[in-house]
Amino acid sequence: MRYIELTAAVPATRAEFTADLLRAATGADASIDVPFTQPDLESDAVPRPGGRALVRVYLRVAGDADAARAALLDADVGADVSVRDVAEEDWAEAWKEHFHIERFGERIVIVPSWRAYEPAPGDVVVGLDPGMAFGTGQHETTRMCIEALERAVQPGMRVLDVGSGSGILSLVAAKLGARVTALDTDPDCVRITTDNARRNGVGRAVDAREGSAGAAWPFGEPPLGTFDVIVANIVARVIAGLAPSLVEALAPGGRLIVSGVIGEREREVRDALTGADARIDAVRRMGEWRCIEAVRS
Amino acid sequence: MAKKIRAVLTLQIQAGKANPAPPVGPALGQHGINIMGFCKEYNEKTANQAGMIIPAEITVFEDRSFAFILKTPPASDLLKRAAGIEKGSRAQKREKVATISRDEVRKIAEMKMKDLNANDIEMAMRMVEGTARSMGIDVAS
Repeated sequence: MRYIELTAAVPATRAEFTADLLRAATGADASIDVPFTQPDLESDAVPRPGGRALVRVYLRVAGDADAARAALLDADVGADVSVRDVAEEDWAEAWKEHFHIERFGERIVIVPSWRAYEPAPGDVVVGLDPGMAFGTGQHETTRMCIEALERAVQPGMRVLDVGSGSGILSLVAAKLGARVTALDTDPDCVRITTDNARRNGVGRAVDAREGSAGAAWPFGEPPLGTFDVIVANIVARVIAGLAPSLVEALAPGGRLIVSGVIGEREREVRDALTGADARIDAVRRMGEWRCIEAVRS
Repeated sequence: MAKKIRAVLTLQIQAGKANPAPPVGPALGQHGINIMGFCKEYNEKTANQAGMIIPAEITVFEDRSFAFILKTPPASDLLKRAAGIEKGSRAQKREKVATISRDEVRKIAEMKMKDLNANDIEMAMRMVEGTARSMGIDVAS
């Protein structure tokens, strides 16, 4: 089957109306590519001033495309209209081509559920499907944190994962034999982390809760000297703010692994950690990102 | 996590009925994000709003994970319901298809406030009135 993809480029302020117009004229649901800008990596997307949105509908009948053009012309929304033929694809499956088996460090292997993998001796295999929470393993910061966890975590250790997202770092730590407390302020992430832990057979080793280090600690009094390893892959501003709580929660000799830190914010995070009586042990770089490891002085 | 954003998309789709067919499949597939994962979450979150268009604004991150929020129904859908019409005028400059009261405009503006980026209710009402005019719906003074 083939579709006629009709795209109307319109001022962003007219996008919703244009989508509605096209739905009314054709009976098809609509999508909008929203023009945006991200002021910095710690910000959400904001509308790009003067940007043009791309409003799309997919049609099966040529006459519907004519009706859509006529409706746009009548409504005078200032649309630039383009039309092309697209073949139907198995969209439910095609996106999976973007995800492959990924190896991290010496032993860690992240395997999507639809890929067959025969583990080599010593492999630590984590099954993880990408979805609605950050942490698929494709981002540099996730990769550096996984590799740091592999070096740091020993069986029986207590690990704290602050900002667990998909739970990928908690799963790696649990698979390495740790008992993990996973925190996220987003309840969706807590649910996703819990589900992923169960799927990996480490549901009892990962305790996921809504919360964070410091004031949002979900277990009563914030921990002092409790965790052998703490990993926080968040953003520089949040890590700097949490630095005293993170360092306090470390056991003597414990290791703090932080990332989500862009190069230009490295100094801010280093200063916050040393100001909280941690000693910087290593800074790893991958692209524009940093992963900072610190130990409790 | 410092989430570098790859794309922002809005899907105007029917509550509880997301599936991989267009527009969902091509819109999300081009960014390599988990289409069935989105459909399942969207349908669960909108299951009790059947019959409405509930837009989803999806933020796609650099690592192909995503987040989405549900928006209020499009102003034009709410206006059509308030005016009791099937569709707006396709020649709104020539033809008026219905009239609604300022109270109805206010109700819609209040519902849409959080999505309209309006500073106050008066500004939101002006935006809703603008949409109404463009659809051929008069607002009674």
